[in-house]
Amino acid sequence: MEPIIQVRDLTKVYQSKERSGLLSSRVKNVDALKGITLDIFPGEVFGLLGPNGAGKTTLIKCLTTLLLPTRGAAWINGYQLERDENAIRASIGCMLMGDRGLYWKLTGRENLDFFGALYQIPPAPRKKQADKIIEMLNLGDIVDRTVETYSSGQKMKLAFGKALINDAPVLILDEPTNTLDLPSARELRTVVHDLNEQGRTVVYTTHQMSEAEELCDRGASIDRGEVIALGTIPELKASLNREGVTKVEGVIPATAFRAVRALDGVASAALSSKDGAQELVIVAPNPRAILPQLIHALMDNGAVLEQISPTEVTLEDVFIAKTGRTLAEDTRVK
Amino acid sequence: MNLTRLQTIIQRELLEIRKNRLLLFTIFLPPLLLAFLPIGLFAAMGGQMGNTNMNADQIARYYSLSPAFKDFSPNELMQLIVFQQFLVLYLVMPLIIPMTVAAFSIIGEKDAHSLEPLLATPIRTGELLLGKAIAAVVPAVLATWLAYAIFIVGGRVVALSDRVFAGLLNPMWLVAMIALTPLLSLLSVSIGVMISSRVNDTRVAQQIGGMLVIPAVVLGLAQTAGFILLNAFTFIAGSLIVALIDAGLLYLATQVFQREKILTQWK
Repeated sequence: MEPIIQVRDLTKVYQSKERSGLLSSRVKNVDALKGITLDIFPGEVFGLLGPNGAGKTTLIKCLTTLLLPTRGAAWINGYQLERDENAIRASIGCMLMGDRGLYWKLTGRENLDFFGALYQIPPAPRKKQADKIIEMLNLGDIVDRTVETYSSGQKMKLAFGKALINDAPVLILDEPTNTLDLPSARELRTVVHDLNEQGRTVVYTTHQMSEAEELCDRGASIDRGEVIALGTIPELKASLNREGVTKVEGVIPATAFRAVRALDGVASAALSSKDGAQELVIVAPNPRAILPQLIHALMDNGAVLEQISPTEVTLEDVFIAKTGRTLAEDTRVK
Repeated sequence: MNLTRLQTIIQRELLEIRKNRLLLFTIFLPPLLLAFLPIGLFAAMGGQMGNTNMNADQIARYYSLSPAFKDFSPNELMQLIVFQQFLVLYLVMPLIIPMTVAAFSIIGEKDAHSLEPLLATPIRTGELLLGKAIAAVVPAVLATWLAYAIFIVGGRVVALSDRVFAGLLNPMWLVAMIALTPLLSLLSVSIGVMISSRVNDTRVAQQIGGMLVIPAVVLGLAQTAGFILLNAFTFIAGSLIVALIDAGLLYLATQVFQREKILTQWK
């Protein structure tokens, strides 16, 4: 099967000016994408996974023709990036900037109509498509109010609806559930799933691996501008099949974390904080064998342990195993 | 240039302006004030200008610049000159009024994070910029025309004589209002849109845009001092020159629109 999206050696280098004196500045190069190569096939939900600053949004901006790649090439729906900009834009429906990509002084219906008109959809089919979206996303009660009166979740739903207005074969969704509460996020994922069942190809970026596990057929884990893992979700998880994951909760000083990382038999470890508690994730080929040294290393360095448990491998563990960092870490280059 | 997309941008911009009542109010208030103010003053003074404060040299200079006024009494001449000062203001207004809207056009989209989704549609830079420019011009020109109409009607009532009113109704001012006003407005807006796409702070855009008024004020002062007298030739030549500048500025605006810089470096 021919891929609907082909990306070959896509590289993006940003240039930013850094002030070095009162009147002088120097140009700084930031490698946002470093030779990304991947294929996305028709009818699949493809996850672009990684922490903030990994390069997901830069890749999305290149694929949606907003940014020109520094090097490399990409084809979407048979059209080449840079050469067939307008054909690519007509082939994709995209949700960028979350709930902000809307005109707040206009009503939801006016927003849908405006974006539909930019795709030159005639008024009658445009209205029909808008009505279909309004019904699909249960926007009927709010769609004739100005967007400034919407809650964050309602704006997010409308922004998602806007991505559907041109009924494109490829949907590119950048963190679409970012500000949604859990039921709304679930509802939106159901809609994405239904749209995929109807044949649409979906590119879905997220830093929530549980979301990717639920929704995506395949995915690419991106870190610091590079693809560090690519495959189906079971394949990605299976890449850790000879390794086990142990999670430690409690109060873990930096010295204890460093001691754990230095232990023989620890493949990788990452520390994160959540809701005031710390969580240490350790990936090791034989977790049981290292358990005594692990506990010693923690206790000797002042850790207060609340829970130690072996866990099932998740996509986040795959990311930790590959990078030694958690997804909560912001890797943006300032 | 796709006219459907251009029309879509214009309609959306106008819809937003129409829904923002305070903005609409600030667009229409200054021209209306400048219509009612002179009429009210003339009415209060009973159509008399009193002592003109003009010396013989100044009056002679006006007479020499336009021999058609040689039969006017100093009072009539003074009233016509004052009328014309206000008419000059109607040429300055379309430069000032749309500047805020234009200066906000691109940077406002960036601030609201609506620029990325917009640029991801098949819109072209030229369509976007021209659409925004036209949408900023339309209310400014309508406000100016409305004020001009009120000024003419009021002028009929307070004019000292028919020949003063005839001077007010001079066809060259109609040409100026119909042709030069929209062109001047487009000039201001094109510069405003260009500034808006080159600076990343709304305040800076408005400050730079504000400086555009200076040449127009200089023109008005020169006419007040009697150094130049605006006539049909000035207006027709001016309209042609401004039309050419407008075309050049709009082209330049599309060339200096740095999509990548706006999307990646503006915060």
